[in-house]
Amino acid sequence: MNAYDTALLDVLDQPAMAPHAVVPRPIVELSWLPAIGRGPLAVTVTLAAVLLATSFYRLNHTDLWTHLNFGRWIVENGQLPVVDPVRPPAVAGTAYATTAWLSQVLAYFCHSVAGAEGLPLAHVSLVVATSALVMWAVRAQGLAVGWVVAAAAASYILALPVVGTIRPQLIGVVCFAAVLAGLAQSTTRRIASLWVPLVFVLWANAHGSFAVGLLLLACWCVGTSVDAWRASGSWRAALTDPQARRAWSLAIASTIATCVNPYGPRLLVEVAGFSGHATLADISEWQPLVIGSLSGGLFFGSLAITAVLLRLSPRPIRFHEVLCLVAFGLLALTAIRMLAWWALVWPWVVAPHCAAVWRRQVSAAGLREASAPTTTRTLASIAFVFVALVWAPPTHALVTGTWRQEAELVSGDTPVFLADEVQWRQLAGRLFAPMDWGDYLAWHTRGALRPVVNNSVHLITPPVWRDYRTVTEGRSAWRAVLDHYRIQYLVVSRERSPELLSAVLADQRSRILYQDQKAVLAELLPVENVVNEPGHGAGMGRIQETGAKSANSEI
Amino acid sequence: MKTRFLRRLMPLALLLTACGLYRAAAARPDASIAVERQEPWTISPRYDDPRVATDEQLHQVLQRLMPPAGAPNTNTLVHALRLWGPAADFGSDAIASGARMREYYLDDHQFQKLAGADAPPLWSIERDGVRARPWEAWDKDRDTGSVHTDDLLATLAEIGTPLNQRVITRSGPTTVGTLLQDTMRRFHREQHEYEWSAISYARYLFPTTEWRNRWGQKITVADVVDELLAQPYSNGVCGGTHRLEALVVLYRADEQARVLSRHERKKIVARLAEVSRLLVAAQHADGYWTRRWLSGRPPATNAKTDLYERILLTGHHLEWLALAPPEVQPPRETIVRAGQWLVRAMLEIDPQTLASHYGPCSHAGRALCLWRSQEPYIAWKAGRNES
Repeated sequence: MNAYDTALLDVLDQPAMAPHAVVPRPIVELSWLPAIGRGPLAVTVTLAAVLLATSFYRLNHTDLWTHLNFGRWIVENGQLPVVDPVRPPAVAGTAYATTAWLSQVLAYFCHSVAGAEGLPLAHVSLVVATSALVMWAVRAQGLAVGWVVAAAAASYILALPVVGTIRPQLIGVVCFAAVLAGLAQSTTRRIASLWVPLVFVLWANAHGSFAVGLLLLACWCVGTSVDAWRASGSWRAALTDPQARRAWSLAIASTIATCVNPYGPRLLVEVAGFSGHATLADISEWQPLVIGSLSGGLFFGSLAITAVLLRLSPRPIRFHEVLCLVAFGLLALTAIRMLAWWALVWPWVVAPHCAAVWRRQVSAAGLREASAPTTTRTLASIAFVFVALVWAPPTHALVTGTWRQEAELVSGDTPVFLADEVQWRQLAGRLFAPMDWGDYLAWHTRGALRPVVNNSVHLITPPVWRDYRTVTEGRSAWRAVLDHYRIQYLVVSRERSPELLSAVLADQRSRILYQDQKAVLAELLPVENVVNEPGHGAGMGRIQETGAKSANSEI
Repeated sequence: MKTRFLRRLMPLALLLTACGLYRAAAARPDASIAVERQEPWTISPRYDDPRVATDEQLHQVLQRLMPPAGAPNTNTLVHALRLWGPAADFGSDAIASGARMREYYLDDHQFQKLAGADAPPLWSIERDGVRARPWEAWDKDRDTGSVHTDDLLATLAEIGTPLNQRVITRSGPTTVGTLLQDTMRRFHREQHEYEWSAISYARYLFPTTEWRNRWGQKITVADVVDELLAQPYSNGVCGGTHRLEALVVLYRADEQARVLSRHERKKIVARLAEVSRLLVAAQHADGYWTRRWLSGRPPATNAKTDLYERILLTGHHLEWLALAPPEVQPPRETIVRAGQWLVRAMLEIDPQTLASHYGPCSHAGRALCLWRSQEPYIAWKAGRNES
């Protein structure tokens, strides 16, 4: 067991908000430093550990580069896009609401200020902020610091499958944790009614996930009302219950707050329809949880713990807790991505029951003595933070002023060298590339290369999506599809599309401009430009025109 | 009140002070790559076996491999320069001397003299340093482009060009050292061709073994070795034989520089020995190899392979084997049979085929010379004097 765990156990018995029992046993007392107890030390160490653990994630090209492209476009044009600005206008699809415009602009701002290093810095900042808010949310329920720390740790572990990806949802996660804290605080303090709606204003502009915040509020309101009804036995009493009224007014104010965005109330409609896009079914993070996966293991493991705890807990189970577990549990089951919300709700609901079970056990054994605040702990916490800052790569870069370069920051599958080549050649025009690479290449060419398909899958129509699959799978109609979209440059992933690669290398109208062990970049020549030259593939000669009808008619 | 506030700020002040001190003490990464030597490592042949090729056979073969006249082709000249060396002088204006061929790569004026004033420059200074113009199929000037990544630099290393040698580009003067630094900064672990990069690094770079590329990645020579070992040979240029050559050059340069770990050296030897075993099994009864050498089975007697392809594979294999350490050598009988087949083939091949496949044929000539531990130009001159 390490020092962190010991500190955790030592503070488990401290009553919430209670002053520390002072035992004058100083080891090092420095009058110019404030003294802290084990609780603040444990919190500091946990946050430092979260910072460190998060700092080693690399920039994953899920939809990160899409958002950066959008952010740049918004900043440069001073308006919100009506259609996807990354893709060629003819295939950019229908009008849509940019639900994440604020976080896209903030991400672009981070990149502009600190280069690519700004993104991991933003990532660790948001994850640390989330952990801190989870701690606050649990603490606001009146739990001891030990449970606060344990809840933050549990939340981080549960979110492991999704925490490594930097995306606008992270701002949503921070907002969600803040709302949890606000709800816990609202039972004792009215100020939450003021700031929680402000959180929703931020959230509605930063990411479409504010809808899950509204769901949380709904669970809270209904749960509080039902609890009031159960306590009084009368619906009339439940309606006039001050707690329930406060909950409903908070929910109404927050819902109205979500309308403070460039689209007004229409945003709610847009967000409600988001998960219905057919193309999402092909995206792994939108697929249901599988029990054999890490996500599944964590989720079902947490469910098992919940069952045991609720069985043992002497604390009454409140109805909003049941609603939250059921609603967010079902959400997590439907899509891996939703695990992020479960990871926040679960410790918040379960921690009070853990504490109750623990209290019952420990009260039988007798309480342990609390320790006095010391400046030694203050020094220790400074040391922990310092070590985390200089060890974690993004903060190390910040401390030393030596920014890392992009190849050190991005995930292994990112086509860094291809992007460099594309920049060097100053390529511009229509591009067909694996969807995640398309955004990255568009970002590096400042939008000069326009991928037909990118990570904004919810904006891609089913026919375009079918054509995308036809090409990436190297089916016989691949060339016809590309001709139909008047693609000028084709990027093939050697690993993902071996059939397409063989076809391209044999295609007379494909000029190989660049290749590395990951990707091949080809310029696609129009029919009239074909000449018999050495090196133009093996020369299959005839262009397969069959299957051209599969291309859609959006051009 | 004020004192209390200041006291609360002390932890933050301490933390910031510690970070400031750390920042002052932290080492700044150095953009330049330290290269300790100016001269490339020389890798001498190990064996002299007249059964592989007699002096007379050597002369006859070399006589057929005079640098081709006519419009220059960068790839052909690289092979000719590599075979004959910079000291070669054939006493004729029609045949490029070694010095002229070397100047073709080192001086744009000489390049323009041979390639024409309209030819785009061979070297250009790009945002990522000096680059050789790559060969591209659709380029009308492709003949004067560089066919393989870093093949020109590797050739300059092989012929003993020091790093402080001036290179006159059309954009201004530079040095071979700058070419090396720039290519090292461009090198990455996903590079498509890295055989000549590895040869350049082994000859010029040792004992330096690590650097950072322009993308910030740390590259080590061990990475380069692992890359050479990891990829299937079937993907490599000339049937994967240049990867074997690169491994041998790394190993031999390391015999002098002593920088590779024992583990890396063992891995290289194990791989070369494995290939050697395959070659014994895949050799045709006549002595040659084909592209199917990887299968470890000899080609069928009626198999249709071009003579030049057999020369290509047999020449390249004999070439790396001539430099390879004794522990990876196949039985000498295998080498002799291959050498004698190569001599016959080189004397039989028609002039047109030889001219259009000068590169592979030059490897054959060089391989035979290496197996006799003879400099091609000296062997050729000696043969001419005797005749």
